[in-house]
Amino acid sequence: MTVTPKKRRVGLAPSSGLGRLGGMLLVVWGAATVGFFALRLIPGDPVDVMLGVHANVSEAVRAQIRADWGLTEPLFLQYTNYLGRLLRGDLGTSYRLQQPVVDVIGQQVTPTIQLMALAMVFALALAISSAMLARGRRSRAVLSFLELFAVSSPTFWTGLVLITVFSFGLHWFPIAGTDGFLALVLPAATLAIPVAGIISQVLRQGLDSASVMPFADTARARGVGHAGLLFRHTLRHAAANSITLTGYIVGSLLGGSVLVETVFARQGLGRVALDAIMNRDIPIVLGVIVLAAAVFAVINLLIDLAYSLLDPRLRIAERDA
Amino acid sequence: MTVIDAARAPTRRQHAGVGVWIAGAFIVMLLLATVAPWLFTSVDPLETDVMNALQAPSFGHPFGTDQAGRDVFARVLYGSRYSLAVGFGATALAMVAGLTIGAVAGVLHRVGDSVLSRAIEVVMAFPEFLLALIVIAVIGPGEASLLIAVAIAVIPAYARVARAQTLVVKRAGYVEAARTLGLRSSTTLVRHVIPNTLGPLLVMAVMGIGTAITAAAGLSFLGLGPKAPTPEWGLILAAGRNYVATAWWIAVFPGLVITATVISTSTVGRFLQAKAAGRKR
Amino acid sequence: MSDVASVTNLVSVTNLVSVTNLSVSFAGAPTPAVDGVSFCIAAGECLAIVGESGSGKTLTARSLIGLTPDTAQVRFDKLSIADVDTRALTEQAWRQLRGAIVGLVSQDALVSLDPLRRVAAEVAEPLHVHENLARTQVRERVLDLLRRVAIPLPEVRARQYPHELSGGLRQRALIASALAAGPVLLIADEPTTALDVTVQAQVLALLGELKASGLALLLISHDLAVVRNLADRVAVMKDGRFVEVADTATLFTAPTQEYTRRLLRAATEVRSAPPADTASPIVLSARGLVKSYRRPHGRFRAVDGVTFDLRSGSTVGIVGESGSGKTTLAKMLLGIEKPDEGEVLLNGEVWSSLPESRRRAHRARIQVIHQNSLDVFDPRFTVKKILAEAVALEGTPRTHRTGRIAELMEAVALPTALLTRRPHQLSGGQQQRVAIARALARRPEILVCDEPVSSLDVTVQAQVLDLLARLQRSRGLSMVFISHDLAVVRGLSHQILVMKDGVVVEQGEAEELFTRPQHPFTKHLLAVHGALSESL
Repeated sequence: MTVTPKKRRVGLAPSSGLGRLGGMLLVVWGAATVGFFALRLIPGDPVDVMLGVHANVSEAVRAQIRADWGLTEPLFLQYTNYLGRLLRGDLGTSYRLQQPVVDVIGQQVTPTIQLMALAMVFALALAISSAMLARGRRSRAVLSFLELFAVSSPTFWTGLVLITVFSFGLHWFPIAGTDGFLALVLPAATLAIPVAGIISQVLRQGLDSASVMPFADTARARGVGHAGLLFRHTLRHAAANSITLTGYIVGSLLGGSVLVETVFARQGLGRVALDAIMNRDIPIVLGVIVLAAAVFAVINLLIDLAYSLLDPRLRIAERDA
Repeated sequence: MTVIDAARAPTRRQHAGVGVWIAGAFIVMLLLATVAPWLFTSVDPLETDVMNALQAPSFGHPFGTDQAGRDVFARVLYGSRYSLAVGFGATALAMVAGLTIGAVAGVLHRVGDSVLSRAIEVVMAFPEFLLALIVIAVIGPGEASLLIAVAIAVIPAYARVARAQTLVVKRAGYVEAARTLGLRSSTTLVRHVIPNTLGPLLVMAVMGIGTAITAAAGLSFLGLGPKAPTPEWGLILAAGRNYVATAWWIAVFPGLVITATVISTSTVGRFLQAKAAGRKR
Repeated sequence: MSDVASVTNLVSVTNLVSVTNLSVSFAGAPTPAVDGVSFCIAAGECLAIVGESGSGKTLTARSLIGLTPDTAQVRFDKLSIADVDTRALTEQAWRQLRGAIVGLVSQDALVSLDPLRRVAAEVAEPLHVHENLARTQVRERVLDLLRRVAIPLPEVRARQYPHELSGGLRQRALIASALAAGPVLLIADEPTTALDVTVQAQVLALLGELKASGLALLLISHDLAVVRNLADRVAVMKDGRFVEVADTATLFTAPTQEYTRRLLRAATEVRSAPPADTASPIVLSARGLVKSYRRPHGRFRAVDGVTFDLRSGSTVGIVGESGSGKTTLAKMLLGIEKPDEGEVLLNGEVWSSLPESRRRAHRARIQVIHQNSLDVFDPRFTVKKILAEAVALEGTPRTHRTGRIAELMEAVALPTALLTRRPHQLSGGQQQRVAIARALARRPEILVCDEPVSSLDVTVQAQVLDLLARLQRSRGLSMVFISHDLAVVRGLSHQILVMKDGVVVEQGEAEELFTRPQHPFTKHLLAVHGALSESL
C-alpha cells in the first residue's frame, strides 16, 4: 500500500544488543496482545466454527466443548494462559482443523517461503538491471514510467495478465498449482513486479543522491566510468539507503502472498491466513499475527546489523556510544 | 566558512509537466464518472444480455461484455463510484486519525511519546494487507468494512509521518523566530505549525489514495467487499478470473483502469511533493 | 588586461594548458556562467582563479576535465592540455585524461573521499583505472604516495576510513589520490577551505612542494590569503569573466581594477566601531548566566557564568569558536532558553525570569538576526507576508501596512520587486536583509546578531556589516554581536567578550583587548588572525 521508506530511528531504538532483543520481544508481545483482544471482538461463537455447518448438538455438549477449550475462564486468565503457552512455543489449536497451529503453519510455510524467496531474487535482479540501464534522459524516463506502472498495478491483476499471456497464450507455465519449479515462476514474478518497482525507485533515488556527492565527483575526476562509479561507489551508498525498506518489502511480500496464492490456487501461508480469517478460526489468525510480528522484529534486527556492516562510520559511533 | 559556489546548474523548474496534466485530467474524469457516469455511457451496467455474452471489445462495447452480456465499460465506469469512495474515504479517515495520533505523540513529553511511538511500531509490524484482512475478520465483510479496514491498515504510516513532521516543525527555526518576534503561541500554532505539518501529510494522502483503491479492490477480489452483481472493480476482476482463457478483456480492462488511477494519484502527489521540497532549498 | 596577458603567454611553448575563449552557458540563463575566458599554465607554475560564489571559477576548472553539468553548454576556441586537443575528445578519451593527466583536489576530504571505502582503496582508484598493476604493486604505490604527501604511519592510515583521519591527513590523502596516476596538472578547488588555519598552512606548503617538483597547479579559491602564498599569477573572476589577470605581486600591490581593490579591502581592512557614549544607560545586562544540557555522559555546561552590560547605542561583541556556547548565550538573552542560574535584565527590569505570557509584551524590544535566515522564515511565506506578520504585531493599521513594508525594504536597501518572492528564491545577502527588515519592523532597542554574515561572501559580508553599522547609528540600536571571526567583531564592537568552552576568558574595551590581549586564548586567536592578514 503506501510506500514510506523507514527512516533510521535515532533516539528511539535502544542501541545495546540486550536492548534490541528486548525491543524485539516487545514488538512480538505487543502484537500478540493487540491480536488476542482484537480477535475477541469477532462476533459469533467459536464452537460454531469448531463444529462446522452441520453442527446440531445440544447446549450441554457445547458447554462441554467451551470448558475443554478454556473459553469459560475469565478473559484475563485466558490471555495469561495464552502468553504462557506462547513462551513455550505453543500457538494453540485450530478450531476448525483440530490441529496444533504450529503444525498447520509449519506445513504451509515452505511453499510461501519458496515463493517469497524467488520473488525477492526476481525483484532484485530487475531493480539492479534497471539501475544500470538508467543512464540517458530518455532511458531514465522510460524506466521510471515502468517502475511507476509496476508499483501501481494491483498484484491480483498482474497475476491474471501473466496467466493469460504465458499460460493460456504461450503455454510456457502451468496455470495453477504448487508442484514444481515451473509452477513457481509466474506467482513469484507476480509478487516480484511491484516490489521490483519499489526497490528500483528507492535504489535510483539513492544512486542519484550518491552520484551528486563530492566523492562521486572525485571518482569521475580520476577517470572512473559509469560502471566503475556504480559498482565501486554509489551502489553501496544506495544499498545502505534502501536497506531500510527491507521490512516493508517482506511485509508486502507476505501480504501479497495472500492474493497471489489465491490467484494461482497455490498452497501456502497466505491461503491459510485467508481461510482462517474467512472461517473465524481465531487461533490460526493469532498464530499468523505472531509470526508476522516475529519476522518483522527479526528483520529489523538484521537491518541494524547490516547497517553497521555497510557503513564504517556507524561502527565507530556504536563503539563510542 | 563554507563556500558554496552558486554557479551550479539552474534549479529544476517546478512547473507541471505533461504527465502531471494528463494525470490530473484522468482523476477529474474519474470523479466526473463517479458523479455522472451517464455522461460517458448510456448502457446500464446491470443489464444482462445473454445473447451477447463474452463479446470481444468492439465499437459498441469498448471493453467487451462479460459472462452475462453486461457491458464491461459501463460496469467499470459505474464501479468508479465504489472504488473512489473507498479510496478517498479511507485515506481521509486514515489521515485524520494518523494526524491526531502522530501530533499527540509529537507534542507529548518523552515518556508519552515513546509509549505511543512503540505502539505505532507494534502495529506497523503487521503487513498492511494482512492488517486490513484481520480488521475485516473482526468487523465482517461489506462496503463500509472495506473502507474502515483499509483506513485502519494505513493509519500507522500516517501517524508515524505526522509524529516525525510535528517534531521537525516544532524545532524549526521559524517557530522560534515567531516566538522571538512576539507572536502568541496559539497564533504560531495556527499560522506556522499546523500548515507546515499538514503539507507533507496531504502529499502522502494524495499518493495514498491510489494505493487505498488497490487495497480495497484486492479485498473485494477476495470476496470481502460488496456482493455481486455490484459493479465494483475488484469484483469485476474476480469474475473475469474465471474467463481469462476465453475472455481476457473482462479482467484486463478494470485492472488497467485501477493501474491508471494509481499512477495518476502518485504522479500528482509527486508533483506536489517536488513543489513543496523546492521551497525549502 | 586578460586578453593581452594570455596572448603573450600563448607564444611560450612550455605551456601545459592553454585555453582560449572558454564559455559555459546554461539553457534558460540570461548570461553565460563563464564568459570568454582565456588563460595558460606552464609546468611548475600556479595560476589562481579568485572569485566569489557564482563567479564561474569552479565551472572554469571543471571544463578542463570535461566534468561540467549535463545541462551546461561548453564552447571554446582552444582548450588543450599537455598537447591533447580536447575538442575531439570522446567521453572515453576524456576518461583517459582525467586522473592520468589532470588530477582534482576538492574542498572537503571528508565528503570528497568515499566515506565507505578505506583510504588505500581511494588512493589506489586512479591506478586501477589507468594502469594495470598487480595487487602488491598497487599496495607499494599507495604507500609511496602516502609517504610523498607526508602522511605519518602510512601502513596504518591506508587501512583506515577517511572519517578516522584528522582533517589535515584526510586532505593529504585526497591529494595523494589525485597524484596517483601521475598527472601533470593538478586542479585544487578550494583545497584548504574546510581546514583550520594551522593545518591550512601545512597543506599549502605541500602544494608548494608539488609545484616546485614541476607540477602545474590551477588553484581555485575565494580566499586571497591562500592564493598569495602559492600562486605565480592570479586571475580575479567576477560574473563569468576575468576582471584582472596579473602576477601575484603586482595584483596585490597595484591592482588596476576597482573590483580587485574591493576584494582586497574586504579581506584586509581593519574596521573599528565609532566611539560610543560610555555613560549611556545600560539596556541589557547578563548576570552570572549558567546553562547546562543533559548529555549521555553527565551534564554539559554550555554557558558557565557569563556577566556583561550592554549600554544604549553601543555594541558588545562575543567571539569564540564553534561550540563555545555563543548561541546558547544568545538564546538566553532573547528569553528563548531559561538560564539555570543567573538572570538577564532588560532596562534594569526582570526579563529571563518572566513567564512567557508577560515576556511577550516586551519581545519587540529585543530582536535577533541568525546566521542562516532561510531556516527562520516559514517556507510557505513570501517576503511580503513575512514582513506583514511583523508589521501587524506593531498594531499598524491595515491601510498603512503596505507603506510601512516599503519603508522597511528601503531601510535595508532591497527593491520592492522582491516582495513577491519566497525566501529560497533570494540570495544569502538578500535573505539576511529581509531578516533585518523583519527585526526592524518591531522597532527594537536591542538587536542580537548571531553570526549574521558567516555564510556570506566577503563583499556581501562587508555590505551587510555596513548596513548594520548604519542602522545602529541612525536608529540608536544597541547590539550584541556574536561571531567566530575576530575581524568582523572588531569592526562593530565597543566591548568584547572572548568565550571558550562556555566560559568568558577575557572581556574588555575592544581596542584595549586587541592591542593588549591578556589571556593566551585571545592571543592565539589574534595570532592566527594576524598571520592571515599579514600575508596580504
